[in-house]
Amino acid sequence: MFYQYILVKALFNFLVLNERCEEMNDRELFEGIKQKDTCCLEQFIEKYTSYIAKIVTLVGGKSLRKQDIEEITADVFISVWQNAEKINLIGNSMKSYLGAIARNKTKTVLYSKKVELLPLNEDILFTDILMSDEIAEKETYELVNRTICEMEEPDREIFIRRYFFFEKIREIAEHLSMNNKTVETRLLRGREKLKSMLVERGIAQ
Amino acid sequence: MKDIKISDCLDNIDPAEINNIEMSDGMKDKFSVERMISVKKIKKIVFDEISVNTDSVNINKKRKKISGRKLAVIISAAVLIISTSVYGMNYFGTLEKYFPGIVQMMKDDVQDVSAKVEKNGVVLTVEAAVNDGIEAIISYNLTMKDGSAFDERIDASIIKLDGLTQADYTDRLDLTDDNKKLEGYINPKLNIENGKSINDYNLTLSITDLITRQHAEEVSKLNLNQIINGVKNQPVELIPDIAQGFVVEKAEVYNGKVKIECGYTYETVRGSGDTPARIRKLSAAPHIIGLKNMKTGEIINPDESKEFNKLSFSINEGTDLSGLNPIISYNKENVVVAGTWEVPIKLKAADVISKDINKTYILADKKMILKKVTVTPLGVYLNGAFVNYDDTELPIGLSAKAYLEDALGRVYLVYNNGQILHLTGSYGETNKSEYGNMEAKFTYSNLEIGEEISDGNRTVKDRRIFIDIDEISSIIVKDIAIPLR
Repeated sequence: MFYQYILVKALFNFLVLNERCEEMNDRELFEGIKQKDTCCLEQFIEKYTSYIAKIVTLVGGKSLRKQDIEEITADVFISVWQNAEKINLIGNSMKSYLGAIARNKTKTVLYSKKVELLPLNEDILFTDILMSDEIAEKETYELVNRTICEMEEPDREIFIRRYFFFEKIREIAEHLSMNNKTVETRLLRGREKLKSMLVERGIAQ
Repeated sequence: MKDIKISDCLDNIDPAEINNIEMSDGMKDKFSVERMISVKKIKKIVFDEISVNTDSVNINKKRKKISGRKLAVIISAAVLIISTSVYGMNYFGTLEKYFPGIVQMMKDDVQDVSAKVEKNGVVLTVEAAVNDGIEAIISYNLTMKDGSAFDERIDASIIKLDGLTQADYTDRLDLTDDNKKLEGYINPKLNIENGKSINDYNLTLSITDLITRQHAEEVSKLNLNQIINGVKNQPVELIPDIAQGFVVEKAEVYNGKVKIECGYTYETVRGSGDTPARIRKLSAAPHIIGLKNMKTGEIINPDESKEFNKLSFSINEGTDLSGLNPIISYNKENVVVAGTWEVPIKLKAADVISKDINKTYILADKKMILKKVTVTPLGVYLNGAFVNYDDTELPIGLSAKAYLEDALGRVYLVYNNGQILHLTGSYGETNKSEYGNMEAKFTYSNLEIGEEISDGNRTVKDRRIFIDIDEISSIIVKDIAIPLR
């Protein structure tokens, strides 16, 4: 009977204590996290662990162990908890923020393991660029970022899938119902445009 | 001098840009991460971390008046719990917990193992298994012999399925809410192409050392002013147990700003399961306003034996850095109960039904030979070959009629939103030869039991579902349906 009592009690706690948070939408949960409400954080973890773990696995593939995936996933939630005040939530979904954080954290871990996510000749636009200062460096990165985001579709999506989510060319092609060659060509042309733009602005030669 | 990488440029992408970009379907099916990742474990890591790092966490769990509807749910659930524990089914309790609904599908094929071993006051019990030869799910638990509770941070240091290599299985282990049982499952999956069955292996579940992971932080007592003004590239002080030395790797001055890269070097290998120590943040230094571009926790390996945990930040030249100290945090394993618990497992093969197809299909310029379809308690397998297919993986689907049997043994045809069931998966890697073997498996877990599948009035969740091999109507390769008949 004791075992049954424990189960009933756990069920009672689960239903009653989580009642307030379980019906909240993302914005309400997020506002709760900003107020350091652990109930909202717990509900948030329930809701998004699977999504974040999928992004981490998508980016990291076979290079990550189960423990790595768990650590990175947990790190994403810790980051949201610690930086909630800095996040300006647009719309009602946290998915894209979480996707971006998960991707960046996975990338950092993989770089620390010296795993190259993409062939270097595909990823590097220019080598050994001399930046005058950090501000110039930041501006260059923002320029490339903005140019990609302002590309016409489907090039914008192809670039984000390839360079943000590190998807394979075959997977991008399948998702967008294109040939592998078409995707490769669009990536090549896009890279050439980015290079020309940096040369025109005197950032690279 | 710096390389400009496109992937680095997208680090600061506006999240709105990825709003409408969904993961590709193939990737969704490829990783069954839900099975692998424990939400409970994630919660524990997160709450351990925030409780260490936050001075005042507002534990805001207001108790609300319980509604009549919820009360009814609790009462009926309580009745259910009491009645199921009276009437048994104990040996697949853990399987039911992790695979609700799926166990209902495969209940006739669940093997009651109930094998135990006791050592140092801890009992390892292998509860039950389902095995179709290629994949198996084996549930197990660990309890204290005297029935006492475990430390709430308890975990197993090493979980192995001897007889197979580590790449052949995944595992999961969670502590129950009363802290009295560690329970989970191990999920071996063989590469179909090696032609072997799980039944060909002598398997032993082996658990080594029960441990706790302790989260800790240490604050460096170093005088950054002195270091940055006085030395470059010089080890300064040893931090006991963790760091081997604190190093200011680089300090650059330009435009009135100082850019500092500093960090700890430490031995990579500490305890077998310890996580690397990371610099998480800088301690409060109220007189310093606006640290620029602070990056923490980046770990690089200068050589095989040591890691360098790097922190970089910029600050105005001449700023007083006293009181500004890096804080490192880490998880450390402590062995609570030492020992290795081993239980040999003899798995029985469940009934599988195969049907020879032996047909050749032309897909654009590719050719597919489908040899055999097999339905097992854990999924549906296709065997065959692709000719002239030069990729390593191929998205492949399956259309089938599935049936659901209710508690009275009545059978209904099950639809997914009015459509015939569509299972998706991808077949394993080939060696890119001209003649690549094709092996695809479709697991029932892809059906999202009880969520979307219903015949209008009934859901699959609490019932037994099965697929009739003669009702597999087509396979789908790259969204093209190929009729089997």
